[in-house]
Order: sequence, then structure tokens, then C-alpha cells
Amino acid sequence: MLAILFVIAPLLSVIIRVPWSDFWSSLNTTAVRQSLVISIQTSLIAALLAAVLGIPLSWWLARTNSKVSRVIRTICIAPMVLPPVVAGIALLAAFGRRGVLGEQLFNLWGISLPFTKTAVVLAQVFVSMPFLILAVEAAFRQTDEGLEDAARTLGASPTRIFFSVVIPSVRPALLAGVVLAWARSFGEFGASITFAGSFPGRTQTLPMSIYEIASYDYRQALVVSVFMMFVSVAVLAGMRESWASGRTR
Amino acid sequence: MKLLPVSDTEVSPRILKVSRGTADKVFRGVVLAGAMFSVAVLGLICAFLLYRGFEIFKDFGFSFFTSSRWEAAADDGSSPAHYGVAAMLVGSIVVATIAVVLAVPFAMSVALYLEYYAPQFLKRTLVSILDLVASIPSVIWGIWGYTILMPHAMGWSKTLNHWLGWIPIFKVPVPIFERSPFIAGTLLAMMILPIITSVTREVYSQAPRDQVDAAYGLGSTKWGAIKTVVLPFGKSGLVGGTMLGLGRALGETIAVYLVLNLVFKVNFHILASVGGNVASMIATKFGEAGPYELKALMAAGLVLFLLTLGVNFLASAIVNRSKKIA
Amino acid sequence: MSLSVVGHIGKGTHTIPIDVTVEAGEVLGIAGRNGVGKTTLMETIAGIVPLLSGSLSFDGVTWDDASQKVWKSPEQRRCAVVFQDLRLFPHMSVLQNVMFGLRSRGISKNEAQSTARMKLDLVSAEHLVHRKAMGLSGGEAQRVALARAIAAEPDVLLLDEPLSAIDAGSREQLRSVLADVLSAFPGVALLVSHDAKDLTSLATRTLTLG
Repeated sequence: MLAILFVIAPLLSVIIRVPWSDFWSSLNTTAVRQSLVISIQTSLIAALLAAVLGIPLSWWLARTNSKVSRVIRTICIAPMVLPPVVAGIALLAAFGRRGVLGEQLFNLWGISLPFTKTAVVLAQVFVSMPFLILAVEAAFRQTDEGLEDAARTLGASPTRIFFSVVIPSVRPALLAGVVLAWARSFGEFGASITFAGSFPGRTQTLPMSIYEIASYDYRQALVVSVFMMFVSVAVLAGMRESWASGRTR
Repeated sequence: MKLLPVSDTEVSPRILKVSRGTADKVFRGVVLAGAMFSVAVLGLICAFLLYRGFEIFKDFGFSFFTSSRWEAAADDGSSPAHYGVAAMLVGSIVVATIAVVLAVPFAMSVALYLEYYAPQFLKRTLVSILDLVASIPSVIWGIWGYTILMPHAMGWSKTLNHWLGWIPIFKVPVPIFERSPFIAGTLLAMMILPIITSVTREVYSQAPRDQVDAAYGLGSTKWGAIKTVVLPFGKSGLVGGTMLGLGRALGETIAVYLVLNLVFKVNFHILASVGGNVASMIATKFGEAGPYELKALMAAGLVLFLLTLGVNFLASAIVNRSKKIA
Repeated sequence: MSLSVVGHIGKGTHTIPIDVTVEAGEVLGIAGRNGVGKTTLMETIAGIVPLLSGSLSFDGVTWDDASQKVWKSPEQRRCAVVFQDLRLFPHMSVLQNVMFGLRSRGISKNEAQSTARMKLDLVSAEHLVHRKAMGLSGGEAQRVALARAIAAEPDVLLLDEPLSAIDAGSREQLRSVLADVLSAFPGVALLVSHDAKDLTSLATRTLTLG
């Protein structure tokens, strides 16, 4: 019981210590508003991108069981154990101006990724996709292959089976995976600050903004971080609720 | 109706060639391309990190690991650049170890409580809360650690130093207790508690119920049953969870940065305001780094990556072994 | 039009020899004890399991030939199955289930809908149209599965224990529905059952496996 307190106490103490009287005025600064908008934009795009890339990939991983697929699975999950800062550095090594791919990109098309919003999104996708892949692949593995056989005998093409039989049967897990990816992206800091930098109004996300505010005003930083915690906890809790009710139905 | 003779010759599975419609080919192509693209990017990124990092290893050799100096070349060329990660590497390990040492007993008791003592409704609520806590961004932990935890933890530090100061690790050269490895470790302990707890709990929940019941039946207390059956059974789960937590603690950046004083000096005095960790060092030095220092940072990142990879590999090996036994 | 299977079927190490030809309009009953491979025969014809040796052809077109490496996938076979475990799509409505085969073959939504309603009417299940497939009773689900199979307008209809999951009362009723459907069915039909009474009343002849 005491151990439980150990977990919950931090949360409670934060809420107690927050200077509620100037809660809104602390939040309502240009820097915070700008970074909140950027955070919402980038994390939503990142979650979407992670879904678009990750769902087919996890489908493939779930349906093949070869050496190749095992190697690929390991590669996909590697960013999960990669410290985010290292992930950012690695992205920079690949896509930076002097990076191996980045140089080509710049010479060929004049594209420079680092320190742009695209870089923020890329960093977030990189860090959050493994979580999505893990969650969704597990769900795909549990789907009933008999239903797919039935659909095939009825003349359905693989594409049709995927969209009208497989996807609906894993919808709760898909949703959970996407929300998880979003939450990771929303709170992502290490990879995006190294790869995209922290430029207010351009690449500064909410966590970066908190980090910057913390260097001069811890009280305000506390307020903003509590606000951020509320947002992510509310979304995750909301998903949990709808997911639970969807399962019992 | 005649029956064919039973043959056992051709029973090997056949490779089936399937012709498909255009739309399907396109869809398959898109799926495969998307999948391969992301895999290729991931693979390449790791490869580039290796490639960049090795240049630095070539330049500095083993001293990259043993030296604590991290200095860019002087502008006038009077002193060459020198980079070494010893202090940060030691710092990472010290902080992560403190975190694990503090977190494990708590995680174990939370896991046991949830699995064997908590009433059903409480268990469900607490499990959800733990999951939510696990997803709190680390910036928030860092801010919380600095504003709320640190004032308390400094008090604990002083007490520890007062009574146990004769043990080398609790000594402080200068009586400043702010931003020490101890505080960083305490904060990390809280951050990794959920993950250790959830892995441990999962393994505990697989403990053979009949053996637990048998131990009960033989007149042992609940705690006795847990001690004789559940704890030995769940040992590998605990180790695996701990390793996962250790991996996270090693890679933690911003939370550590906020509550730990970054000094390039190997330090084992955990209460002193001197320390560091590879991840937060990268984040700090990164902003003003020149191209050569950037490579050094990449090399540091590579070292950290290999370290966490090793820890995680060990963790999954241990957890898998326990699954096989179960 | 006829379906012929000559060769060995099986999954894993258990193989059974088969040599059978079924003409259109016939209903071939398949009998045999449990585990002898009745379901495997169905799956082989439908294209879920490949032949181990020999060949399978319908109306002069080879569907599966182990030696010539010819293989038509299930969706190319026009072969509808009523599975023993039914396999209705749980997330769809009854109507969507029955429409599935038609829609898969590119038939317009309106046309598919009216055909599906007609087929549901045929198996006396028209009152179920808007129900979710998941909440149906055993007998109801059985009718819907039958309607779904015949709605796809297959050349070959495979029925795997279509009367097993039903209580005795509605069994008689469903048997007569099934008899009507089979007598109106123009293609090749195979009926697996462990119940001799089903086979004598519904099949035109019976093959005993094993």
C-alpha cells in the first residue's frame, strides 16, 4: 500500500503545488500557444504517418514467419530501446546537411530536413512507430484466419479482405496503437530537439517549450507541464474507457 | 469408385503461384514498398550511426572510453580537440544503478500487492493508473523533480551524509547537495517503477495457482506461500523487468539534465553535486557543436546505444527463458 | 459441368486417396468417422488447402494440379462454402454478410442488396436482415451462412455439417429448407454429414471416406 503512494504521490503533489491562481495567465503566452499548436499538428501527423506505414508492416510481420521477417521485426523495434537523443543524432547522421542521405537530398532536390517541422514529425514517427507496430502486430496475430478463408471462397480479393474483414476485426487494437503512438509523439523530446532543434514558432513543441521556460521560470514550467499531463492523461484515459466498453459489448 | 494406393512420396508443401488482378498488385506493391521503405530507413539510420561513430573511435582509440575530457579544439589551434566519455559513462551507470536499487523493492511489492492482496476493483484502477504514469512525458518528470522532489531529497541527502558519511560513496567534498546523482537516481526510480512493475506483475500472475493453493493447504500463511512459490517463480520476470527499467534509466535525457549538475569528472560520491549522463550530455553539447564535435557526440550516442541494446538483449533473453519454463 | 478430384489430399502427415467425379445437379454426400478428412476434402476443393498429389478440375478447367504446378486461388474458383463453424463476419450485419460475395465480384450495391434479400427469403431468414451477425442463434446463423453461400452464385456448393449445430426442433425445418435449396441449385453440391438421415434425405449418392 505504501508503494502505491510512492507512485501516486508525485501526481498529487504536482497538483497541490501548482499556482492555480495564475494558471491561465501562465498558459496564455505566445510561446506556449505557438508550441501547443505545433505539438498538436506534428503529433497528429506523426501518429497518422506511423499508422499508414506501420499497419501494413505489422500485417506483413504477423503473416510471415521467416528469418527475414524476424530480422526486420528486430530492426523495427530497435528505436524502442534506442535512447531518444541517440535516435535524434542518428537521424541527423542520416538526413543532416552533411548526413549520408541528407547530402544527396540537398544536392538533388534542394531539400534540407533538419530544423524543420518535417524533421519534428520524422523524429516523432521514428520514436513512436515501434509501439504501434508491437500493439498492432499482436492484434493481427490473434485474428481468425478462418474468416479470411471464408472471404476468399466468396471471391474477395486480398485487398478487399484486408479492408473489410481484417481491419474491422482489429479496430480496437488499431485505435489503441494509434493513440499510443500519438501520446509518444506528443511527449517526444530527445529525438526532436536534436534533429529539429527548438525554434519558437517553427519547431518548438510543447515539451521543448517547457524545457526552455524551465531555465528561467520553474513555476510557469510547472503549470505548463501539468497542463500537458492533463491533456495526455485525459486522451489516454478516454481511449481506455471507449476501448473497454467496446470489448464488453 | 476405385481408391488410389496410399503414397507417402509427395507430401512436401508446394509453392503456390498465384495470379492476381491489377488492383491487388498495386495494393501489394504499396504495402510492400511502405514496409520496405520504413525498414530501410531504420536500418540505414543505425548503419550511419555506426559509420560516423567509428571515425571517432579510430581517432581517439581507447582513450575515448577512459578519458573524461570533452574539449573542442581551441580557435587559435594551440590545443587539439579531445573527447572522452568516461565521466558520462560512469555517471550514466551510477545514476541508473541508484534508480534500479531504489525502484526494484517498490516495484516488487506493488506487483505482489496488485496480484495477491488488492481487491479486484482497486487492482484494475491501479493498473490503469500505472499505465498512465508510464506515459507521462519525461519533461514533466524533470520539472516535478526539480521543483518538488529536490527540496525534499536534499534533506534526505543531508541526513544520509550526516550518519553514513564515513562510507565513501556518501561522502561529499563540498557540502552542496543540489542536483546530485542521488536526486537524479531517485527521480529515475519513480519513472521506471511502472515498467518494472508491469513486467514483474505479468510473470507473477503466471505463477502456478495450484502450487500456491497447495502451500496454503499445507497451512502456510499467504506470505509464506508467496515466499516459497511465487517469488522463486517470478525471479526471472523481476530481473527482466529490472533490465528494461535499467535500459530506460540509461537513456533518459531531459529529466536527468534538469536535476543533475553536468560536470566532466568521474564521480562516485552520489550525494555530491557532480555527475552527468551520456544522453543529457549529448542534448547539452549538441546545440553549439561543430562538425567534428558532432561526430564525437554521435560516437557517444553509439556507445550509449550499444550499452542499452546489451541491457535490453539480456532482458529479453531472461524473460524468454522464464516463458519457456512456464 | 462436372467436378473431379483425383489424387491425395491431406494436411501434414495424414494423407487420404481420393478419386471422385460429381456431375452438375448431383448432391454428393460425404460420410466417414471424425478426423478422416471430410473437412480437408472441402478445403481442398475450395482452394484453402492444396492437393498433395493428383489434380482437381471443374468443367474442363484445372483448378489445382500438383505435378503441373497449376493453382487457382479460392477467389478464382466460384466455390462457396458453408463452413462447419459458419465463419460469418461478426462485425457486419446479416445483409452485409450475404451481400459480401456479390460485392466482391463487382456487382452494384443495389443489385447485391435485392439479391441478398431474395436469398435470405429463400432460407426464411428475411426477418434477420438488419441484425448483427454476432448475436444470432445457432439456427439463425446457419440460415444466414447458407444464404451467403448461395448468394455468391457459385458453381460448386460445399456444405460442411450444415445441420450439426442446431437443436432437434429446428433441425427438421432447416432440413426442408436445405432440400429446397439443393434441388434448385444448378451446380455441383457436396454435403458432409455424420448423420445418415441427412445423407439419405438430401444427397443423391454417398461417398464414405476412410
